Amino acid sequence: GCGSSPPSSPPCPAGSGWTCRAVLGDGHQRTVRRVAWSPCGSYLASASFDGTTCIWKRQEDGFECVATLEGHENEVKSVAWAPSGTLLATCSRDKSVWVWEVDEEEEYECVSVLNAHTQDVKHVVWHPSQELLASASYDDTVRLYREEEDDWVCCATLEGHESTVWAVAFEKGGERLASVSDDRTLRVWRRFEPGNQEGVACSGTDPTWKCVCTLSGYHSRTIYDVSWCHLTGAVATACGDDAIRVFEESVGAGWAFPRRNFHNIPSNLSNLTLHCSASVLRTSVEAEPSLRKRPRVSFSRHMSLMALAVFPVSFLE
Amino acid sequence: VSVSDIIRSIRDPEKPQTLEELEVVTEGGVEVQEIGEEEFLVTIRFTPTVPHCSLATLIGLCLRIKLQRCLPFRHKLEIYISEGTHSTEEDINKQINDKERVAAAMENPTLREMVEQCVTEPE
Repeated sequence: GCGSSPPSSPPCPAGSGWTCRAVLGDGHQRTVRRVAWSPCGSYLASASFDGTTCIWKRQEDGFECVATLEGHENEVKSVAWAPSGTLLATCSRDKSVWVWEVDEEEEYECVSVLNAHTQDVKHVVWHPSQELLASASYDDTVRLYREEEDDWVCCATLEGHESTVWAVAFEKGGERLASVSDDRTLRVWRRFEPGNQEGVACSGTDPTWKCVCTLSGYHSRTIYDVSWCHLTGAVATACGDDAIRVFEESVGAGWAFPRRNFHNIPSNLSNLTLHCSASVLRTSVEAEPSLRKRPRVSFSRHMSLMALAVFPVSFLE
Repeated sequence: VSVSDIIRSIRDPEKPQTLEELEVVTEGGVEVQEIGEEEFLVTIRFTPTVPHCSLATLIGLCLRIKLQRCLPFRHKLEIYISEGTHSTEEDINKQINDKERVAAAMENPTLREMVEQCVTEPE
């Protein structure tokens, strides 16, 4: 698939189709940084630089603030609901990740304060189907957490990025995770269970996550957000160079030009091609900002079931 | 109006002189590269007068705020401490180039006031 050129007129002209139903102006005293709908749709969580997270309940005529989650020492940067709807996670510049539980009486309780990161935590996101939490931080790492005997523990640390990790996104099945960073790379991490056939070592019963793909040279500035489509598998990135990029993966596409040599990869593998389809949705057509390095994709030796051909498609139509 | 014109009059947070007078910023520390159609990458390297961390961060913040407000052309901005002039320069550079940290810092009334004192043009 290819990206399309920007539409010449917006499909939904201002003033038609969307109505502003509510303005919740009294909940926070500083910038509201993130909003998240609960899985059931009845609640909205808002995370603010004022250090609090508000929970709003949908009413007939608007929204009511039913809870204010306090405790973080400074700016709350992200909030996310677990798929179950009974757990919430928040994170802050105070370096911590908090896990909250809500009961049938709509009472919120902090069930864990996780101090695994050594710096500002930018983003938290839940695994699509398991109670597994991921966080992205100014300390250049991604960390994963799970519940263990009534408390939450950090069960994995993903190291590799060379600067702040701004966001992470899980693939639909939850076996892979994408992360984006101030280091201008998009990385894909894959989970390896204990006893895996690729021979990746795991300590104890926790899976290990390895970086299986690094996309460099595509983004010319900090990448702030990433989203992994659960329908199509496409990965979109939001970049400080004013562009959105969409990456797609095709398995079994065969070799494409130019073939590259990779070390330590067995030859009897199915093929994987990662390519960058058109940079889309710029507001004006212009030359791609000069990239200091040619775009490249590098694969770790743990990509034993995947490989090896890369063809950068032209960036703009 | 050039980048240098905009930054030379920023006052030092501690001394009654401008960054230019104190040679915290110099012409040589300003780089402007065209990166797109009428869009420029502005890179500033500054040398703080003292190795004190919080002052260096404050100067970086002042540079960013003044340029954000006054640059008349579309730009991306990078601000760095000149290499080798500070023991924690990587830490400071990371902070002053993190736009979320900068935005949050400017919501802090005390810090905001200090920045305003440094960047506001005298009557």
